[in-house]
Amino acid sequence: MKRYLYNYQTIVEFSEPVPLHAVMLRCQPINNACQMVEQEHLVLSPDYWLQAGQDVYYNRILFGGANEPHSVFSYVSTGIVATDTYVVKYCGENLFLFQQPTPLTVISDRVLTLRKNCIEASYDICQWLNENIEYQPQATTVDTTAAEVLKSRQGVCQDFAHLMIAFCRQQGIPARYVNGFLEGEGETHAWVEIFDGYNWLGFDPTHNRCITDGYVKIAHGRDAADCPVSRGMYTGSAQQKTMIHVTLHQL
Amino acid sequence: MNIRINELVDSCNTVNKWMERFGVRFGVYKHGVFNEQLFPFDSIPRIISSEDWAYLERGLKQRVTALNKFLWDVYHDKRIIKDGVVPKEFVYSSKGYIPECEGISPKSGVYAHIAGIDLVEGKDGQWYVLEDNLRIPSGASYPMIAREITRKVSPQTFAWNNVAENRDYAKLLATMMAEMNDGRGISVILTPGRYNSAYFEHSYFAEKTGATLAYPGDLFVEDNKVYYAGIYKEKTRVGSIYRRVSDEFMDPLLFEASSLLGIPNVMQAYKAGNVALINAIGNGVADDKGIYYFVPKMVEYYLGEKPILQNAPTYLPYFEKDCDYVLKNIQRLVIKDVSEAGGYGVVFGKDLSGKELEDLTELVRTEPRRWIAQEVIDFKDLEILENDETVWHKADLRAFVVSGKDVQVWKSGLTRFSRNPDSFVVNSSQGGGFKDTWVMGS
Repeated sequence: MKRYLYNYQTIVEFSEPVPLHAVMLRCQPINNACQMVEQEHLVLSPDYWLQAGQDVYYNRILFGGANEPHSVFSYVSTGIVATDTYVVKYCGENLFLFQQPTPLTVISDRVLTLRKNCIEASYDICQWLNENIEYQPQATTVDTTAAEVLKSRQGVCQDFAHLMIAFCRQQGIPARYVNGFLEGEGETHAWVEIFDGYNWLGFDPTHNRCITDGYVKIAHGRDAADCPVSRGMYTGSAQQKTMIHVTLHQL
Repeated sequence: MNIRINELVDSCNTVNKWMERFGVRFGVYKHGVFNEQLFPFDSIPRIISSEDWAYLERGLKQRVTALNKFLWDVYHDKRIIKDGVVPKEFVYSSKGYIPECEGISPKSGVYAHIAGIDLVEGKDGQWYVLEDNLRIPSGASYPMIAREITRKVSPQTFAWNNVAENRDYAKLLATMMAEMNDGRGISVILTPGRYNSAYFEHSYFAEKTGATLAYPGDLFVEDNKVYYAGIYKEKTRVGSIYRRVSDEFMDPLLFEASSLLGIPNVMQAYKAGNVALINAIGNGVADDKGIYYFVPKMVEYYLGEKPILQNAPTYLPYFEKDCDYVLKNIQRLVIKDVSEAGGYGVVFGKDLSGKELEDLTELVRTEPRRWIAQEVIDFKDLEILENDETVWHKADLRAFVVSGKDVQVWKSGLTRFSRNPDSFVVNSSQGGGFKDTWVMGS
């Protein structure tokens, strides 16, 4: 068992005051059999109305907003989480949903020949991605699809994960998108969980490895659009600038 | 039946002029340009005998009850899938299935508070259901206002003929909205705005039901409750929203992020039971053209009754047996793309050239789940007055079923006729006009 201190910070600056800003956040680690949140704190500024809930994938969500003009919104989510070997128990999820391509994970070509066993196949996919896709931070956006990545052969962790999911689903392997924190400092990370018939196993296609520990999970979904860390909507004509900073350190 | 309509027929132009003055229009986007069109009214009513109506009414209540039970089941226990009556592919890969609705329990188990069921009458007098519209079916306002105007223009007509009253639709809506509201606040009708094709209807319903007409931006969520912001920025709690905004635009934090039509976080308030959405979100899974095939089976499954209303004979290429039949008979069937609506994606085998038929055959073979095929029903033509001459056009009937605590069928409906005498497509997005629908009193 390893214990980590996580700190997730976001500052949203508007170029002029916005009359209404509504948010939905997934910024707190999930509790499951291999991950337990020991302590957590959340600080928001200004004071938004906020309620805790669950989305349809049982991720923890916070939703709320403010209906008074304001030009900055910031929050810090921090705490201590204990992790065990990364094996996520199957809880009766509708596997069919994780076998169907979504607009972000649909590809038509069959470019890979994979070994039959789903774990071996996942290693094959990671290996192929590592050899064929270049990690390139500015090449894609949050809306880039797996099909586009397959063409451009460039992307970031979200794109690696989407393409891996697309390959898995082509094979009939249930696969889902995960976001969370990786040991170190920077932004949030994205990886993949595949269903091996009993449990969900983690693979990090960006780093070409099976996940054992050092990863703190926030949320999962069919693709990135299902589980963004933060989603907001505001009225008015202001421009928005967002800064994100994540740290995860072992204790 | 002894019907006397000469006077009404003579006043057709007057009725149309009145409708123009009242702004009875619908908008059409063609090549990205918005145009508002008048919806031509033909004054010869469609007449449905009280016996025929009694049959339709029973059938419609049964069908809508089963569809509501199906929607509840899909988003809760999924018995019908587990029992193998409806294959899971048809449910979960339907565009209308919305996972975010899982476990949400609308009041009284009603999802389709307002259902628009499209029917046609065959030449043999047999009625067939062509389509169920359970999302935001439109069209009731046209026969409503047509009746209002014809009664003024030709009051004699309604003294001579024993026509069932149809001016109670607004009351049916208002009562249902109040039941769903449960005293939590005001009831509103949410319109996307004046560039929506049915804007006339939204404003007309608001006027007739006494609900507040809300525009995007008028509604917001605070402490997980929905409020209406008045012009002085006062806050009024909202208890039910008859929304005329599509599912995908309702909550930009959950669905289409760029939507400016919706209400951020409304899905959370809805999930918590703090507001009623009329119709519920996620209904598209039950009016999918592929699911249509299974509706008679739903009636038997949920109600243990024989279906009263018939579907048009339909084949699903998804089933091998049906696929063989469809491929063999493609040139006399009508093929529909399950993901399209509004009269688009409908192809008649008989209209296709050899090459087009081949292409379609190939598509059906490679993507069987995407298509349904139906026998072309030779449905009744209705009389239409065109420059003082009587011509015959194809027509359908959209019946409106309102479900609150009880299920009620509006004694009227929208009769639409095709623009061309030989066309079978009667969707108003494709041109054409409408008639009043008279249900005769007993």
